[in-house]
Amino acid sequence: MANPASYSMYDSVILIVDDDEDDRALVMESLARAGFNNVLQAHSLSHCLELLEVHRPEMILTEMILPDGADTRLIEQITSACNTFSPVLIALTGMAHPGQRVEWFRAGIVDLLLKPLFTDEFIIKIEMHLQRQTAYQMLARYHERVSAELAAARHMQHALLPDDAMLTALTQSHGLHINGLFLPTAEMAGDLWGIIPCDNNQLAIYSCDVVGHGVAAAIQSFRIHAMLRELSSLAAHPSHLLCTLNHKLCDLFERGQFATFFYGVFNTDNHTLTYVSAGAPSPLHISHEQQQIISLNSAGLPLGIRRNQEYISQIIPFFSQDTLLLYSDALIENDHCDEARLMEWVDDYLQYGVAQTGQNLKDYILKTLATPYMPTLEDDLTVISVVAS
Amino acid sequence: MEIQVSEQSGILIALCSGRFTFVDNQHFRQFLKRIELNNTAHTIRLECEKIDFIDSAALGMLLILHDLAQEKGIRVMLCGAQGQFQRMIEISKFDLLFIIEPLMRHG
Repeated sequence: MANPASYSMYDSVILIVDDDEDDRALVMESLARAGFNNVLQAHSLSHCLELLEVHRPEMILTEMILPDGADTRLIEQITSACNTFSPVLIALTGMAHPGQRVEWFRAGIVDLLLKPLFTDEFIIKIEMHLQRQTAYQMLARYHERVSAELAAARHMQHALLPDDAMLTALTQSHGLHINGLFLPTAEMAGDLWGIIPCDNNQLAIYSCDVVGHGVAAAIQSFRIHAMLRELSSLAAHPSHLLCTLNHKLCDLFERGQFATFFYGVFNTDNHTLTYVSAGAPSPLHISHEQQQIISLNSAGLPLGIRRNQEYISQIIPFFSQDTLLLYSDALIENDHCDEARLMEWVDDYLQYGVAQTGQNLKDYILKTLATPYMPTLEDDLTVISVVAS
Repeated sequence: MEIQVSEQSGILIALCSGRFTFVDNQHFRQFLKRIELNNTAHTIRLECEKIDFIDSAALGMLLILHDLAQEKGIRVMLCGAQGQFQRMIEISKFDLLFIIEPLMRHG
């Protein structure tokens, strides 16, 4: 079809299939008088099928009893010849029993016009069906284009996240086994996580969730990613970094928009985690030595709300074999999991999962924590685990 | 979420119940419109005892309410929040923005 902006339904290709020459001529004449200028004609089913090999009509008007095909079989042969496009298929008939008509509709016709045709009514119906077909095709093309763009944008969002090569390198350089799961919903959302190496002994990990769904939230997460790169000189200073980021986001966000944020710096030299949080779901610190689960205090006004908000960092010990679990709110805000269920999972993790690292741990989390809730996810799900060597 | 609004002596009372989520967007905007047009209230009391759940989008709507009320010089109280809603208020430090009145336990 031509450019939709300049497209007129009177340019639509219409194929008339009728073995009666007089009837064909009458339909041709009526359509020509109404302004349709792209009308093809076939005198038999086989002729129709030949034309369909080279043309893609928007509409096919066919007599239902032809010398070489009739009834539902005729409809099936025409529709199977149109397997890469969907013309409006209308039956022309002199007579048909009600039961027969029902079968035709079930086989794929969208309307049935009785001969002899009343020209005005005939043209009104043709125009009505073509308008509907045009609207449907435009909508389908729009949907296809938006889906492709969203898929590309999701791919770009994924590309921002740390990849396996980076995680492996960081295990060797900093002695931290980091795994991240990012399960996006069909639409885009505002989840983001990342790693910023500060020096040989310090490594920062952040997790961010911009409120809302869709492209707007995702674009804000892209901006936050860019801002964090600009603020890399503050990477080892969580409090200062978050205050600065908040200030910038207050200028950027619209009223009612905000982002929850966790930012933690692991120091593998003195075995500490210095973190600051802006309303992120409480991270879980699983102490290996004490076999204890500590829900970290993550209270803080989300980013982008109040310009001069202070974010004060907290320091906790983080020893060998300790685990930190970060997650987005989608994990505990669905019908199948809440905070109590999460704590049960951590108990199981202490029994079975704590000995796992690398890909095994990622698979363990995916299998036991994320997968059961995926079908009901209404928001992106991020789960990040950090285990000290 | 259901909202029933009444006004007494300059106090706009909004009785809220149910799940407060993204889908309440239009509904809540009507409530905001009512506040925008109101010239008599000095306080808004959101009675939240019956809110079962709040998501992050709904927290955003509360922020819009906060900004609107601030522009009009109206104070906003979140009253009786409990369960998940209370935890969300705590974790998001909304006590910095709103007056929080805890749930009064009787008996």
